[in-house]
Amino acid sequence: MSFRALAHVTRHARSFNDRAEGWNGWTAIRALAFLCVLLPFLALAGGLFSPPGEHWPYVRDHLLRAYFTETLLVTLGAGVFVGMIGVGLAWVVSLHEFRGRRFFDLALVLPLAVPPYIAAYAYEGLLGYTGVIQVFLRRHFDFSLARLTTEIPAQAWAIWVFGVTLFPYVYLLTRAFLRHQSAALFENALLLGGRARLFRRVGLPLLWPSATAGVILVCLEVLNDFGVSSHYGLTTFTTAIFAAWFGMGDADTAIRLALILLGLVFFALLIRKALHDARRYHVVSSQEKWLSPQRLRGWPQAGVLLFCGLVFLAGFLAPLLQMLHWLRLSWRGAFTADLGGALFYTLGVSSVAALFIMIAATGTANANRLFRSRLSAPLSQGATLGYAIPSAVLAIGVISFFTGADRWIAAIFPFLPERFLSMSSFLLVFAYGVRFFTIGYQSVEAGFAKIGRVYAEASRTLGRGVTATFLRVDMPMIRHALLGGSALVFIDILKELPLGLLLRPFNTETLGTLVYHFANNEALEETALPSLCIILSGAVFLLLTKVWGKGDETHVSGN
Amino acid sequence: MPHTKMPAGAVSVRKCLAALGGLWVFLGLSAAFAQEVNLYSARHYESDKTLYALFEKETGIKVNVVSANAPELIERIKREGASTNADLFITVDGGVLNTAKNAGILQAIVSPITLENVPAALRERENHWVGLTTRARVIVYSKARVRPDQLSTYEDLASPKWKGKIVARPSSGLYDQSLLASLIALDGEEKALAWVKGVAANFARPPKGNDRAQAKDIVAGLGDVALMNTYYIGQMLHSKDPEEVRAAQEVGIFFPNQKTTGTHRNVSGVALTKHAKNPENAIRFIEFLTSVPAQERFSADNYEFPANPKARKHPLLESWGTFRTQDIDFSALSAHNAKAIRFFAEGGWK
Repeated sequence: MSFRALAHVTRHARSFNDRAEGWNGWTAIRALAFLCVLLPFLALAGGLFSPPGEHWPYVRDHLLRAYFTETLLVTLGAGVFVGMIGVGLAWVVSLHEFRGRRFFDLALVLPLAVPPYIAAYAYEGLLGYTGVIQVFLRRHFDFSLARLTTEIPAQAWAIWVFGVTLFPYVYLLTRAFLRHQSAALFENALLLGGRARLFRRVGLPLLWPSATAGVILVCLEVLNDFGVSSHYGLTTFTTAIFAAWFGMGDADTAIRLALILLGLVFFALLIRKALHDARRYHVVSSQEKWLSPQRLRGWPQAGVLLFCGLVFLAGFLAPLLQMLHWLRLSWRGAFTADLGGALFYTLGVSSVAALFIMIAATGTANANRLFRSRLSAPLSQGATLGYAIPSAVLAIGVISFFTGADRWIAAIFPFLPERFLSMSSFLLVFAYGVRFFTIGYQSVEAGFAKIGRVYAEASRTLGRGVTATFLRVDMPMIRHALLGGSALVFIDILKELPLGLLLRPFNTETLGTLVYHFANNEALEETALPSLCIILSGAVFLLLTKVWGKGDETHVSGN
Repeated sequence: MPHTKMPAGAVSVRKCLAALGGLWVFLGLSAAFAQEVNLYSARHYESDKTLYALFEKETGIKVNVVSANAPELIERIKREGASTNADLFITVDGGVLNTAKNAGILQAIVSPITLENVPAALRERENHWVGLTTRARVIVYSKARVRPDQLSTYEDLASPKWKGKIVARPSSGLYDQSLLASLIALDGEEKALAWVKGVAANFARPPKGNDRAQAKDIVAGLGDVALMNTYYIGQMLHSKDPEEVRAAQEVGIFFPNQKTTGTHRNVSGVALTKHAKNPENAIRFIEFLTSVPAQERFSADNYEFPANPKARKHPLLESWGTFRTQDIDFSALSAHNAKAIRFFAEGGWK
């Protein structure tokens, strides 16, 4: 799309602000952000028009069905599993008062700090033949679990690992939704029927949009996963793309597979949109009385505690303890300069990338809000591409593009160091930007959706410009969305593996690549320290945003 | 842009952006040292890091490393073309090394010292790559339930006497793909496919886990025999996890095909890229890596067989004695790799 076309469309859009501002700083940020997200795909697009690779007929006839089944099984399995855990927890924690509720309110977010592949290593260590549990049972009861654990298929392990580490996406969205629901609806429903009926007839339909939004986010994450699938040897699309491209050396077949994967992703996004449009119940009444939780005692309280406790144990405590156990075995010689460097580099590069993403996301979201154009909706959907495409494919696209760009730069600015972009962290920051833009964008967009345009328009009427309005009026009102978005993006980058593996500059490691190298050498106990660094920095960050976000309870909509 | 007064906060945002730009320039500059050699490596072992540091100390040449998986690194070198950052490419499979050669991203290594260090069998014919170390894929067995005299060849693992006794890793692993490729080269396609079917019919459980996991499952009693790379046995025996050491002590190791075609051996090697920017430093580094002291370090720290025959092996490897290895060109491993992947799929070895 050309700049002129965008400017043209923007100029003719029906909007409050569109008089003479078809082309301004905000729309420029938007155009730039979309261009960046699309660039690496343009670099690969050539592959679409080339004839099918030599392995394609074989892959199509013999393997495609297996890829489909396995991918759908694991993705849907994980989706249903996170849906059950996430909605169940949100329901229980939002609507009930019980001992330890405040603790669990914080604790149940923490599994988000555990990358699924690290959880997979931890579970292998915990439940494997040489793990603490089996050794204990063997030594004291002469009882072997080996037969049992081997009967559990790899797909089930993968679904379990995804489920217990990714459910907070669903939990958080559902919980945020429930927090802002009017009590009247629930109280009336309660008067008319029992609690089970309440959940089935009122709760589920109400929660449907936010729950499915979370579930689909998890599904996208699973579709793009490489670490867990390769650990368990699953033949999902992502691993198949790796095998075709890098194993068989057949880029054309790989790109075809990637296209099918993208098809799946778009299908998922369509479903989300359909569900969202069909069932958007927002009960906002003028007399706000927020839901007050019901006090639980006795057995119900014990049951709820058990549920919350088990989920927390499975998603956070168990991986953490296993890593601590391994650290006890491997701490000698584990505190290396490599680790310090990796910690510093990972935190630095994650912060820088998160900052850029949030600037781009805020610019884009604000432009879409104020300077609507016919292209804004398809473009923001298109940005999801970056999140959906396998990281290795994205990485190769980024490399292809910027190696070319470097040649131009060298010709124009001969005083810059050779291979200026591709030798620096620029590649990695850029790729993170492409991949996680949509996460930041969705947070900011949700923030803007809450406050609407009334305040901005009032401020404009009073003579403030768009930028001044944003800084003085909008930004303070959406600061929680901005902080929350930054946190999500930061943690996602912290957990990311394949991009870091392929794009980091010479002599640098990210925490993720350190973990991966040890695991790749089958020395799982050595993964302890870098894994703990990831988990703990993620956890600290999550808790901080929880504390910062305290004021979020008094939200601004509807007043 | 509408006319707006720039609020005070915006200035600091600009400063931040300028500082970030500065950081990039710095990172870019810091990578551009004068005396250096740039390495794309798919070996992530501690022994290698020690050797890089030693080389820097001896020569003053800075060793810059990116480590990732080999196929992605090859694709990266391909895409970078003439402006590649890599001088050297290091990886762990003879087939992969030949794939890199066939991709046209390598050049011949001209170095009499290196040719003297590494025997011809462990070099590419035109010296597009030279071997650093080798490893053998051997049969490990339960010391409690299997006598070594029951074992003979890889081919024998397909016989019905091992029904329900074999544990294996998924065929997505390169080690078994290269083993199968070597069997295709030695026994022919028909027999190789039949072998996959036969072994798959003997599985005690669906393929899962890595090499070490196979040894553990044998000790756990799930199966009796498995295939494993030699250095993993060394690593398990010296693991920081005492339970792993205990498990490793309960399996025996057997070098198959001694009376027939020899044990499957794979090579890890180093290659000089076609568009290397620091070829002299790169050659010096190759000569260093193939010298006796460096070779002994590979063996001592990582339990690999040194490529240089003058280098001493780790005592554990010494205790296994000498053994006959497959007499095939490593290029066969890449030539038959795609076929091997197909045979695994067709033969039911998931």
